Amino acid sequence: MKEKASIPLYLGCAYTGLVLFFLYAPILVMALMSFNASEFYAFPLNFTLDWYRKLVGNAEIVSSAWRSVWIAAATTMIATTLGTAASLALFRHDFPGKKFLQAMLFPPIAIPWLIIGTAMLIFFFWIGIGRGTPAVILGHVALALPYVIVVVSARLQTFDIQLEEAARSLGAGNWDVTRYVTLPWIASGVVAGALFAFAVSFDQFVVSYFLAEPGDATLPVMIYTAIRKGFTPEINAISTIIIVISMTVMLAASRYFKFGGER
Amino acid sequence: MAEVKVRGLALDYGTTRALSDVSLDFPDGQFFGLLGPSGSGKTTLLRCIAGFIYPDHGTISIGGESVENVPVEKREIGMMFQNYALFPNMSVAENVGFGLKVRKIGPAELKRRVGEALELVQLAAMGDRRPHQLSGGQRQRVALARAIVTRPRVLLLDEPLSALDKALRLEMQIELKRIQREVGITTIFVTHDQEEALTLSDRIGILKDGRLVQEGPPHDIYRMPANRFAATFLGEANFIEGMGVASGIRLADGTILPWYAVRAAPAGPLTIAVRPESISISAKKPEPSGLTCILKGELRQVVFSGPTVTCLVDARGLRFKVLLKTPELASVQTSGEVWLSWPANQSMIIAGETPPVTGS
Amino acid sequence: MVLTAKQSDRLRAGGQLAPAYLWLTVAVFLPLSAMLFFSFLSAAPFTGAGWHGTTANYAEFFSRSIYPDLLGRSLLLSCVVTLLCVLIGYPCAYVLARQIKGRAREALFLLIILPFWSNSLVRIFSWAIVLRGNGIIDHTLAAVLPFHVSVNLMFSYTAVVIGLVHSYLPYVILTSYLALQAIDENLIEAARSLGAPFRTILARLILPLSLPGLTAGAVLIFVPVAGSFMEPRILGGRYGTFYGTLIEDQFVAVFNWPLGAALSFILLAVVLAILGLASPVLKRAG
Repeated sequence: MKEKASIPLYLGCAYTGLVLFFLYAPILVMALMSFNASEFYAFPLNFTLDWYRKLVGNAEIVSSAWRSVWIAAATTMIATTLGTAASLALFRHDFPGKKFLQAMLFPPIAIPWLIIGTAMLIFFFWIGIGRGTPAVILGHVALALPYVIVVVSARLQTFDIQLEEAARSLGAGNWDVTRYVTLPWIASGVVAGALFAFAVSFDQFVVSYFLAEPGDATLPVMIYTAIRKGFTPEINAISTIIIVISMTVMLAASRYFKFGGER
Repeated sequence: MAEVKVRGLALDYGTTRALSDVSLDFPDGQFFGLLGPSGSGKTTLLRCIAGFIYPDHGTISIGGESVENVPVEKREIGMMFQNYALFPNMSVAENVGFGLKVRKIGPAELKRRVGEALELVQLAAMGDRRPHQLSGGQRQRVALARAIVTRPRVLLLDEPLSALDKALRLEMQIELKRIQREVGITTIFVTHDQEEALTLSDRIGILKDGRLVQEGPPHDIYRMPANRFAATFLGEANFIEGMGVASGIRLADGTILPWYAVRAAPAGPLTIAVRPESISISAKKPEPSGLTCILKGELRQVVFSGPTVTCLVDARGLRFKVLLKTPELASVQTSGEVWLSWPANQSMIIAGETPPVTGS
Repeated sequence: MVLTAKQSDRLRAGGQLAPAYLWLTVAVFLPLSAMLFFSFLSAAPFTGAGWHGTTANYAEFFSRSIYPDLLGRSLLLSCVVTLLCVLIGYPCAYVLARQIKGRAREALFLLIILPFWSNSLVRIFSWAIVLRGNGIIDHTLAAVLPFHVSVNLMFSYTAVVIGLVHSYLPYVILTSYLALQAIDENLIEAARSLGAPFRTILARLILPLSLPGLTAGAVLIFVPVAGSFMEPRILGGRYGTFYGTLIEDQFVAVFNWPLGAALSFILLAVVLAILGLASPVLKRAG
C-alpha cells in the first residue's frame, strides 16, 4: 500500500540507493585496487593477480589466516554446543533467577570490547593462562555465546513444547526427546547460530588484539600491525578475501535466520 | 491396564491454589471424565497423574505402584493432546511407532504393531503420509493410535476433541468410546463440555477451584447433584427455596410442595432443584395429588430451538425454565396464565455447598 | 541420597546451563571484577614488584586534565557519530520498512546488513584507501570538476567520523527497521481516516512507536564508539588520540595495567550510566 501523502517512492528508493552506495563504495574500491598493478593506487587500472600471489608466498599472513580459521572453527563448535544446551534448558524450565540469567547475556554485547578485552588480559595473566591461542578461544567463545543463545532461543520460540511432552509420555528419555523431536526442528537455528559464532570469531579484532601472542596473531591483528607499519597492496588483497569470506558466511546464515524477524 | 488412585493431592501456583486435597479413584478399565470450568484444576490433575507437574502434597499410584518419584517417561502412560502434538518431521507410521522405537522394539514387531494400531483407528493406508497432509480428525486418530500402541497402563486425554468442529467431534466421540471398550484401557478424559462428558464417561468427577465437587456415574450425579454448582454445571436446574415440614416444602407464601422420597425432607431451610425437562405446562390447573407439585405462573417467553422449546415462566417470584418437546407446544397458549407441574420425586434436594457426595 | 523426580529434573537443567554460564563467568564477569580490583593496585601483582592498595590510579584521572579531556573528546565523538548515524539511518530504515515491500525489501535489507557482519578492521582499511590524498576521490573530482582540487581527508577527525559512521550505521538501520515494521498498519490507517496529515502521523505516531528501536540502535553505537581505538589509530593519525587509544597504550605500550584498568572502569561507569538513562525507553522495546 503506497502512502500517497508521504514521501514519494522514488525519493525513498534513491535515498536507499545512496546509503547502499556509501556502504559498499569503499569496499568495492578496495577490492578493485587489490587487482591493480600500481602500488600507489594510481589510475589507470592495470589488472594483475600479483598481490594475491604475493599473499600466498607471505608465510606470516598465511599462517595467521589458518590460525584464524581454526580458532573460529573451535569457537564455533564449543559455542554452538554450550549455547544450544543452555538455550534448551532455558526453554524447558521456569525457575527463579531465569530473568537474571537472560540478562547475563547482554554484557558481552553491550560493553565496549576494549573494556572486555583488557579485563580478560588482566585476569588471564593473573590466573596463569596468559596470552596465546587458548586465551583467544576462551575470549571468542564468551563473545559468541550470547549470539548463539539468542538465535537458538528465537528458533525455540516457534517450537511447540507439547511435542516434547508427547515424546516423553511415549517413554522417550531426555536425550531421545532432544535427538528425535527437538533438534530436527531447531536445526536451522543451530546452524544459524554456528555461522554467527564463526563470523564473530573470524572477524574479531579487539579481543584478539589483546589476547594474542605477538608472534602468533590472528589474521585481523596481523593486518592491523601491517597497516600501522604502512599500507601495502597485499593488505588490500587479504582484506578483500576476508570480506568475501565473511559476507558469504553471513549470506549462508541468512538462509537459516531471518534478520528482519519472522513475519 | 491399571487403576489409578490419587490421595490428598495439593498444588500451589504461586499464590493460587490449583489443587486442594483432591482424592479420587479411577477404576481399572473404565472411562472417567474430569469435568469443570477453566481454572478448575482438571488439567492440572491430569498433568500430575501424567508426571509433567509434581504436586506439593499427596500421593499418586498407578496399578498399585506409587509414582510420585517416577518421571513421565517411565510411568507407562499414553497421552493425547488438544493440538494433537504429532511430530512434524516424521511420517504417520513413524509417529505411531515412536513409543516402540524408544523401547527398542525390533523392526519386524514394530511394523506389525504399528499396522495393527493404524487398523484399529481405521487409517491403515495412511502410514506414509505426513501430519500436515492430514485432516484434523485424521490427526487425532493418529494421536490415539500412537498413544495406545505401546499398551500403556493408563490413557490420559487432555481435551483432545476441542479443536474439532461439531460433526467431527461427535464422530470421534463414538470412535473413542468404541476403541476404549475394545482395548479395555483405564482412561481419564478432561473436558469442559458437559455433554461430551455425559456421553463418554462411565464415571464423572466434577472439579471447581481445585476441589472435587462430586464424583460418580453420570446418571447419579445428574439425578442427585451435591450442590448448586453440580446441579447447574451438569444440565440446568430451577431452584426453589423454602422450609422443610412434615408434608413437604413450604414456600414463602404458604404453598406446600409435596415431597416424595424414601427419607423425609429435612426440617429447616431448604433449597430444591427441578430440571427443566421434568416440568409440564398446562393451560388448566391439573388435579392436585399428593405426588405432584403444582405452581401457577405467567408465561413470558418461548424460545424455539428445533426439536425442543424453552419456555420462560414467572411463578412465585422466580423465573422458571421449562423444556418441552416441540409438539407439546401446541397445547400451550403463547402467553398468559399457565400451570407448572412436576412429579414430586423429580425434586432434588440441594442443601447448599455441602461436602461432595460420592455416587452409589 | 535418593533424589525426587523433581530434584533430578532441576539438576539436569542445571547441568545443561552450567557450562555456558560458567564460561561466561570465567571469561567475562570474573575478568571485569579482576579489573576493578586491579584498578586499586599500585602495580600488577605478577610483575614481581611490591604492590599495595591505592586509589592513586583514579586520582590520576582527576589530577591531570588530559584524561578527562580525552574522555570528553571520546564522548563527543560518540555523540557526533551517533547523531549522524541516526540522521542517515532512520530515514533509510523508514523507507525500507514502510515503503518497499516484498522480495525487494528482504534483499535490500540483507544487502545493508551484510557489510556490518564483515570485519570492521578491513572496512576501516578500505576507507583509508579511499580517503588518502591522490587517491580515488581526487581522480573522481578531477574527472567531474573543471579545476584541480586535492582533497586529503586522511588522518583527520573527519576521517575518523566517516569510518565510524560507516561501521556502525547498519546497527541503527537494523534496530529501527525492526521497530518500524512492527508498527500495526491499522494504527496508521485509523489516523489517516481521522484526517491526520502525513507530518502529524510521522511525528505523533511513527516516531514515538519506533523510538525504543531507534534508542536501542543509538545506544549500540554510542557505547562502542566511546571506547574505540582502532579506527582513530588507522584513520586519525595525529588527530586520532582518544580515550580508547589512551587505554590501549596503557596495555600495549606503557604497561601500566592498573592505570589502564582504572581508566577502563571509569569508561565502564559512564557507559553503564548512559545505559541506565536509556533503559526506560529500551524496556518498551522488550
